[in-house]
Amino acid sequence: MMWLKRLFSRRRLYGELSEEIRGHLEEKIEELVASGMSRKKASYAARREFGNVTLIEEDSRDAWRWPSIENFFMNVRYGLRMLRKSPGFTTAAVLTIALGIGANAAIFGLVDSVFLRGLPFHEPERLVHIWVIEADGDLHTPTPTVYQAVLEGSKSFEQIAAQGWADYFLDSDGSVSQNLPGLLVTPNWLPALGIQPLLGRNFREEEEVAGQDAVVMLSYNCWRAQFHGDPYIAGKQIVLNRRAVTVIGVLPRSVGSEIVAPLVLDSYVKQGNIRAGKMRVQVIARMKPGVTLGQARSEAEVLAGRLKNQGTPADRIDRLVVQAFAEMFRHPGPTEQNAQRGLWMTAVASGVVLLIACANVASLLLARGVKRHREVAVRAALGCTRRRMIRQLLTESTLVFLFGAVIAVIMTRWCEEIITKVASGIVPGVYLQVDARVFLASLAVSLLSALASGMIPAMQATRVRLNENLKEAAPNAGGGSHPRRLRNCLVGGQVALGMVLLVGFGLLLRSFLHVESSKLGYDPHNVLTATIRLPYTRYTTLSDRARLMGEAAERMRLMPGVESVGVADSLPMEGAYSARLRIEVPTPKAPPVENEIWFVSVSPEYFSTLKVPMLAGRAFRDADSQEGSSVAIINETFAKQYFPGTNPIGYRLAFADSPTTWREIVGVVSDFRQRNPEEDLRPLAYFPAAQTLPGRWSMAIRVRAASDMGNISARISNWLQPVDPQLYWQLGSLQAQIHDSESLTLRRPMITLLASFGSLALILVIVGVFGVTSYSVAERTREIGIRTALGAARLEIAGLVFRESLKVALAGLAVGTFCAFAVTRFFPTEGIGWSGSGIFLYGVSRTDSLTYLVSAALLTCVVLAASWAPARRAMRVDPMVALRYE
Amino acid sequence: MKDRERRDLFPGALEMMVLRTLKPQPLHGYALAQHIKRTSKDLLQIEEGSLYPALQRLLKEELVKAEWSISSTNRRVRIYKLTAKGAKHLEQEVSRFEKMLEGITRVLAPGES
Repeated sequence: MMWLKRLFSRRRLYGELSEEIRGHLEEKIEELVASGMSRKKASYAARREFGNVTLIEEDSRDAWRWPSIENFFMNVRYGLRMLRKSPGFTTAAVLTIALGIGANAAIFGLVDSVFLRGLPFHEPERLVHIWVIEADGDLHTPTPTVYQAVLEGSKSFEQIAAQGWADYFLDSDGSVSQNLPGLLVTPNWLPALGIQPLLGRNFREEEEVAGQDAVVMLSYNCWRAQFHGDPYIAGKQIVLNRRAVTVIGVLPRSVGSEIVAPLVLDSYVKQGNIRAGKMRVQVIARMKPGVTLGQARSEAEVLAGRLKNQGTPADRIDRLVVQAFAEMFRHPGPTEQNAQRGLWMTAVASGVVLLIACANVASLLLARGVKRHREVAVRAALGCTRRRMIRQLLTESTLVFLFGAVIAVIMTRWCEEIITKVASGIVPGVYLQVDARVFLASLAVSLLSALASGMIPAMQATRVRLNENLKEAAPNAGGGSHPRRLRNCLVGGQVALGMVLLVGFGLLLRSFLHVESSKLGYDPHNVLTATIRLPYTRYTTLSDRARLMGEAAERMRLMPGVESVGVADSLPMEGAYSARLRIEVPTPKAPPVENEIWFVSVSPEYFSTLKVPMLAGRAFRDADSQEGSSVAIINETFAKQYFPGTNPIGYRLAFADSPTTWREIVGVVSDFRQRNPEEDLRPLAYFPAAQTLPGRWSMAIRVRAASDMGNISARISNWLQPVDPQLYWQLGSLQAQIHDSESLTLRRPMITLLASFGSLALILVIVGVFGVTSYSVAERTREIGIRTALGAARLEIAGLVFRESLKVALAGLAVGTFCAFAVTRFFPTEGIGWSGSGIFLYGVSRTDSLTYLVSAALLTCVVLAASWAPARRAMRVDPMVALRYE
Repeated sequence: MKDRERRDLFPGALEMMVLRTLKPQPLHGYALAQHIKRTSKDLLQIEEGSLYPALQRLLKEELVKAEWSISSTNRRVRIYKLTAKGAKHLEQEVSRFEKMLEGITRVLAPGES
């Protein structure tokens, strides 16, 4: 308790100390006076011999306290006082920092939510995915039968859960329906992951049975977006797929699709595509405590051996693959890779914005340091060491950064929702939630940047030549050319960073525009779409399906204003199903080639409706139906790849899994993009929709006049009512399909993010150039006054200002161009995986001169614009006033 | 700030001298300063003031204690006195210093190796 007593007796201690020192000096003076010195002289001599009283008192007090902490608080108090004294500087600096740190806080939050936070599950190291490798050698999710076999046959797992996929239409007010992706899960799915519902309860065992399954859980996003985060949602009824279901709970943010419902295996299996399609489930399992991945794998091998020759051909598997959850993250799929790309780019961009902000504050601090030269000189004269003053100045700049960080976090908190919305376009499931981690990260970043941008100005400001600084009172006393050079370097650096950011943005923007306007191969204008998903409880027979398709298309064609109607199971930009096709090749006696090929089922009028020309042979005919002979059409790329130099008409195709049904090629159609506007062309096969009869298909409806689009679209649902009043048609247009195509939806948020960072950067550059130029004009007032007095024209004076800004800007642009060359080397130049989409440079080279020129021109304009006001001020300098200014 | 007193002395030297001076008799600050100056024959350039931080440090570590009283010249002064702990500390420091000095002397002595 000694230190506590000391803490309180300090005031007395310090008083005694002062008294003692005073006594010492008096004694000395008296002694000197006694030896014959005058009192005045004696007093000087005593002080000289004693040393700096204040400093010694301070040092003596230091013995009694925790000097670093107390000095720190003293510095903070002093710093706060100084900041209050110059609100202009403080506001400008704090806001600049807030912008820079805010951008980084947001990006950190996003990155954190997907990459750093780790898996949001309980003991994730015990969680595995179970995959199968089938005869084709590819990795698939298992069929429900295999899932059940694993469920019954394995002992390594505590829980084995399955998840299927579904599509939901949410009726909000009877007329508008929204399509929401859904998951169907077994009741043990959440327990297996070790996740508790955010609200309400989990599914129960008995809800896994058809008829009992009218319950759903909502994802966090769905709950917030569709139900306004209603805290009493559990227990309420909603209408999904025209069926009333009860919401039993809300999932936490970390899991799930929009809607999660119980998986009823029997009915799920029945939804299967009629053409040998398999319904599959994703299987996850939690290993029992103590079971290793190796043990689980060897058990799976035994199990796979048993399954090999058992069950229907569709369920035959080659191997069971047990994969730890963590591995999925080590070997990211296309989505994850794209997420990484997008996030890295934005992270770099936000870092650049922060650097620019730091440079701004550094130059503000430099200018302020010059203004404070006298203060610094006085303090130095009083015995303050340089180290101490640097510490003081750094404390002050750190305070600015901390305020900035706090404001940044508050701003980020406000923008949480909108940022989440934009970013989830690039990375599904990403979200921004400002929490302690984001706050701490922001603080850490702000401290680092405070050091980075405060150090040099502090060193500069404390470089004192005592005599000169104390004597010279003119505002242009301090500085000289050195700080000005430093400030110019900072501005040049800002311009360079701005250049990097603008070039990066420009290249991606040009790529985006190229993708948007790329040659599609079909005419998407004036085409409406109506998509149907057949309810699996009805239309179970092929003839019912064929009748529905025929009647709907026919009725649509009769609608006034409609030119033609085509049917396809996958519209352009939707991608397509793929299957192993067996292809007869023109080489004599060669066996048929087998390959995984995309295929689309279409009606006879489909190609003409899209205005895609037939290159050879014929289009499908109404006669190509269930009763007719099996036929196929291939695209140009297919023909070039498999029938080089030959006419493919008359050769045959078959699905590898039903090899006896050969389909004769009757035509070759011109290529068009089926998945993404920028994808490479690929071989595609078309089959008559009347022969494959898919469970989901769309009508492409070409309207005569563009002005009719809205009108017709509004009437389609009613018009089709007589065909089957219970069916739900999802409406859209081909233009919207392109707008929503994967690559454009991936690129758009990226453009938005980079554009906002780019504009932030430009604003910061403007502020920076304006600040520095104004300062240098103020500093040179006397020089300008002299020049004017000597007869320099006003324009010459303005030229002086502009010339300096331009010089700095050009140097910055040169460096920036160089840096941009270096940085854009890391820009990807091709899409990811089979989908071929992603964020990459398309139709533009990374050294694209237009982008560089426009960026440079833009920055130059910005610099000149920012120098405009200071230049005007320079022109107005009155020589009389300027010279009398001392 | 600490550099100041280390300019001529090695760290701890001033404290050691203070303790040594206080060993035979308690003194107040001014007398202490004069005594050190006198005995060192002004060879050591010590600012008189630098004594006080050193005294405060010694006080804090309880190597000396202080009492207010009236000096011979009739002024209120604080008299510093060595404590038992201080005496022991002084002994240790002196022997350490002597060893160090011996070492330095050996190194500096010419001719021997």
